[in-house]
Amino acid sequence: MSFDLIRDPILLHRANAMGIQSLIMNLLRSSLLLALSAPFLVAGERFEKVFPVTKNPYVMITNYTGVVTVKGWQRQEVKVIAINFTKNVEIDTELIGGKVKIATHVLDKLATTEKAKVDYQILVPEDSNLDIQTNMGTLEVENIRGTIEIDAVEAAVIVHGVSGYLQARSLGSKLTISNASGMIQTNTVSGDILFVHLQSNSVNANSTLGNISYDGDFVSRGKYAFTTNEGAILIQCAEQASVEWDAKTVKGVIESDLPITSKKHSSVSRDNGRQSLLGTSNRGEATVQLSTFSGKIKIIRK
Amino acid sequence: MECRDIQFRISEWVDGELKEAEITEVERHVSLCQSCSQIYDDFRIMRESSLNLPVFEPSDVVWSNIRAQLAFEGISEAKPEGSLWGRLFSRQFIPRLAPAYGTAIFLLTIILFGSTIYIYKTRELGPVAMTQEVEAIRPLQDAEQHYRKAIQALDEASRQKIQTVEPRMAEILNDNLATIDYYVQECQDAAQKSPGNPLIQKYLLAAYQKKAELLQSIVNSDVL
Repeated sequence: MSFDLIRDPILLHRANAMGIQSLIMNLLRSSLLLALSAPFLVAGERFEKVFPVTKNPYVMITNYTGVVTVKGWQRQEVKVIAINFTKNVEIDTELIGGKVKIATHVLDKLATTEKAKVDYQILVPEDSNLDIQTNMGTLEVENIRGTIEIDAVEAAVIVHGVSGYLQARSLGSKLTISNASGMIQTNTVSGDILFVHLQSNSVNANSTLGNISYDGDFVSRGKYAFTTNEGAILIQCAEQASVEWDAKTVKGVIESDLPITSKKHSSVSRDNGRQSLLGTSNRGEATVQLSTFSGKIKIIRK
Repeated sequence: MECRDIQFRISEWVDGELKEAEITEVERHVSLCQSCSQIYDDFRIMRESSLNLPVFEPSDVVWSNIRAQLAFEGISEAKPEGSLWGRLFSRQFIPRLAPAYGTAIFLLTIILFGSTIYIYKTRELGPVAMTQEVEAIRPLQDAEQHYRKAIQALDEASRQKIQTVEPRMAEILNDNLATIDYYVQECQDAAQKSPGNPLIQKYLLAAYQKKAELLQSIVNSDVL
């Protein structure tokens, strides 16, 4: 069992991120949980199914707990590989009118999350449209050109190399979006939002308590709006970035070490207790709006 | 005299404060004018009714407290005579009230100074800017009411749904709802302190919106 887990590519990826020590701790913790839940859990029953699909298929995925990986591939088919760890769930799949539905059906909803665990590896055509709901665990989406809608509760979400419209919502988990080029809309309550090397010309991020971090350049004539209420906003961009800045905070502070030409009398003005930064870097081709209620806004030169 | 002048004097007549010549004039007008006669009757009835009201006598405890307070202020023995202004500015009274007057004048100065600054700032903004700000906030306040109603409607349904989910998940949902509630409260406090600040109003509205969306997503979720 443990060897299977270590061979799992996602766990290995996480192991690199977390370090071997924390992985071992997690494995020990998992083993203890498995031992305690033995009567309900099975040793990972493998489920596999392939659906031939037409262009732009619609794939709906619903899972409660576990690792879900969705990757785009060249074939016109949807391949579902699932590992079911408990007798408390059933895996339902169906193809209706170009829509592929993959759903974990939990029999006893009041059972612990470990008793609802299913891991999925799903391969879909690159032009697929995805609708994914997951509560806990990890969700990774890669190489998709269609629209993606994600609803997560406490599942860490990693989206990489997508080019269609992306909408990701989460309560407490972190959203990490990298190398994406389509329109992006993200929303969390307490989870952080992290953008790395985007080519998108429209990015919108909103969080209540989470931090928002943007690392990379801004596309010419692109529009970027980041709002967090209690969290911080961190922007890291090159000095050559051509941006029109509009930053506001009610109770927080704004800091910038990027050369910004102010539109008004001073780069940081105080008015009725508000703080604002209105100015341009270089030719001001991209529009970046940053807003917090009490969190800090920081613009850093890379 | 015209009716308007007479009506001003009726009250004084009823209270017995008019001179003989004035009484004759008012009396003659009232006897000929129906509307003034009606007003005179109303005043007379009110006065007679008030005379028949029972006299309220404060209890001994109240009097004791008043006396104790006066003694504490050092003015219990003061018995100034003459008019009210004369009594207030009598030689005996002023020295004893010196600390109170000083405080009052100091506060008054602050209020006047604050008001002057406020008026100056208001003039600087101009009536158009002020009106625009108020107009800008009004739709936000209307929207706030709608969100509050929506939240109220969704609150019970989501609470029932949370009761049916696994305890760890229920804890996560409740924690996130509490996070938004805390933030809503913070925005409400800020909006109360700065009622004319449209940025705070927008944050408050966004907080309500987020709460409504979260409640709705809990109610509609397929995985809960």
